[in-house]
Amino acid sequence: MSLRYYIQGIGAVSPQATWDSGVFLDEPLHYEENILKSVTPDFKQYINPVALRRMSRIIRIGMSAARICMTDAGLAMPDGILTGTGYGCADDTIKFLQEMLANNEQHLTPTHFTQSTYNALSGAIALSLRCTNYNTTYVHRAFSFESGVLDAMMQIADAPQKRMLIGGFDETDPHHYNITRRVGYYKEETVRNFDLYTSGTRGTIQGEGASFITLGAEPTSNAYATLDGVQTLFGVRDAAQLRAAVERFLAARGISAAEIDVVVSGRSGCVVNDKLLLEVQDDLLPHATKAYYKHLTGEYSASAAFGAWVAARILREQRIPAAMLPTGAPAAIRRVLYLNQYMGGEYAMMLFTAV
Amino acid sequence: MPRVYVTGMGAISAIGHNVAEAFQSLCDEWSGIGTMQYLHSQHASMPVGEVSLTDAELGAMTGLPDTTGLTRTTLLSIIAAKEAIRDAGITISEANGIRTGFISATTTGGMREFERYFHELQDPKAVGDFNQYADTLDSADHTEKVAAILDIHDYISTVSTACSSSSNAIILGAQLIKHGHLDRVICGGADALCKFTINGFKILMILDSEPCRPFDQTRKGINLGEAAAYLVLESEALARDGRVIWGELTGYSNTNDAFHQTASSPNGDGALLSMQQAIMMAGLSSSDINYINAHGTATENNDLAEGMAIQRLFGTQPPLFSSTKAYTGHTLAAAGSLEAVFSLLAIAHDRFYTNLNFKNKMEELEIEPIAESISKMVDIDFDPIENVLSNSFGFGGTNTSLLFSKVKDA
Repeated sequence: MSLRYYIQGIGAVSPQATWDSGVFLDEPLHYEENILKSVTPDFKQYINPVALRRMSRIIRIGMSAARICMTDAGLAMPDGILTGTGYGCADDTIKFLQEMLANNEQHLTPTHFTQSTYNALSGAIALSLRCTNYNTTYVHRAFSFESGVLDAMMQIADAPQKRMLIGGFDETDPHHYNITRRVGYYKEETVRNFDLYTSGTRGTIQGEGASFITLGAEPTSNAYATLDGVQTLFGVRDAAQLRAAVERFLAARGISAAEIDVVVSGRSGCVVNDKLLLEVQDDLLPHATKAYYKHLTGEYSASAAFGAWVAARILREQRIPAAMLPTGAPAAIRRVLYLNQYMGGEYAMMLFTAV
Repeated sequence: MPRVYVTGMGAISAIGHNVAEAFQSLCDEWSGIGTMQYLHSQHASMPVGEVSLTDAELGAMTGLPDTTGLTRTTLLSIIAAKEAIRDAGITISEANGIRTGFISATTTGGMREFERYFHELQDPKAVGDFNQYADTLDSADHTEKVAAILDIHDYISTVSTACSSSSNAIILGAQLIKHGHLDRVICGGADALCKFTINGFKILMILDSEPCRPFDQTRKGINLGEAAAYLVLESEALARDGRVIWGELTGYSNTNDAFHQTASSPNGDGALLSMQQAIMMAGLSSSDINYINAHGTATENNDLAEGMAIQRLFGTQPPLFSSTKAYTGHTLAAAGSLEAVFSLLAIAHDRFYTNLNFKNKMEELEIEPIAESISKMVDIDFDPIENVLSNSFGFGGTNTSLLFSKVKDA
């Protein structure tokens, strides 16, 4: 009865050189701007050249991350492809919109429109694999990847032979950046990414990337960790409520807060939005080592997918890269709690255990 | 695993501001397709299925004291979700211990307002009322605002899989109930008309400048529409408590065509697979299906693929099938849940719906949709409608089928 969910493979493309499984954020890239764009691999390694020419940048990034993950997992044909994203294919969406407004709804070309749909990546992956299985896309800010994880876990519970490909992706976009800056999403001043948490100001930096995991019930030889649960929280009012939710989440899985070795924290560098998160990670989880990633990737809706990527690697390699600014160096790492907040609106957590 | 029942429905579309009005329009064979009255576009000559209310009128209909920052998509969503809750006769309260979720779907979210105020929003110096729309393009915006208004906190999510979006929201809702995560889920979708989609489909040359003709040899494309529709799904334990039950969600399936980014395979592989799997999940056989509410967008490609799939699955004597797109227009993310409402009405009233504007059988097919006016068929003794399939397909190769069944008294 005790079904477990194994992370059988991972893949990420991000503003750090994460596609190479040989290095683990060992030589992090430093940025001095508020928009962090992905450093990209040689796409031809992952995508056939004919298909590549027709793909937008974010589809290339997402497709590469998915392929890296599948190769890592030894997965040829997923039983489901689930993606999560906030703004989806933002660049194509804005380009079609701008063309439409500039040309007064005349003389448009269809490419940006057809590539603007949120499920363009999950569809493109299916098409490249000729995969007729389950295919969906969640578009709920920082619940997007988490929705895919929960959906996939239920399907694995229904049919434990299933292996699901789950990812999160987003791309930076200067228009969204300017527009949401109006409501305080991003910092007024330019910040160095490694100074994000000491900035002492409101707002964060925009980032992007695509990360995938392969999830299945089989403890494969390559398995990184188990994913023991996911929880999203909407309408969190105060730290006490957040703390109680984390405690309930852990208790439901038979563990106490003291058993968490590492918190992969979704701290964003915003003095206002990080408040409850920091309070709970310090009060409830004082013994756990805190490690951060949003200064490396920037903030985006589906960044939890990168959180899962990093948690999986920490557990398998039994080390926390210095680039994550860890608050300690635990001798053995058995449990990692991912705890996130996005723009002060969505809170979410995932629990990972070493295999 | 617990069964999943539909205990409430709400819908607002071009053929009615609530479910009762929509059903009357379907029975009267009254189409809501007309000239563009409320959206301001260069393509105003294109027939569309608009909800015949201004944003201010929709705002008044919500009953909310303040509708600042609510997009048209959000307003439609609130109205339909509230109707579904009223219809189910439920009260949402954290105190009653019933774990409740809200799962919505959209393809363009707040694009209608975003495209209207894009230049102002882009200009850091510009100030004005438009600021309320700064992050309303985000698909989650409408879901979170409606969930907050409805006081739903246990679970929320948003789905976007093009034209199958709200069918997939219904599947997620059912799964959450079956796996014991929730007791009750309000799920469906909403999309307001916007220039973005009008222009997108127009440039793809799949918008018809005439009223659309699903499954007709002369079909030329879709008419776009706008709508919101939601179902209240409940676990068996909750629903069986002496309440009116519209039907049971007995089967569902999501498959992918993996054929082309924006087109279905001409022989309907994905559509066939999704219908087959939904029927299998319900433990039924194809002969148990009494009516199919087809996706039937009236594009050359969809109707061929879907028609072929129906013919391959059911043979040349398929169950009665029709598309209701000629009544409502193609309401994109809302289409799946809107047509789920129509499918459940078919079960409740033992009715099915004429495929409006159908005259000429497709050359490639040996089958045809419900052409004759239902009013002319009253003398014929049809089987009761026990099981209805509802299809939704779309860009990205997405294929989703839902199967609703009549609930017999225990």
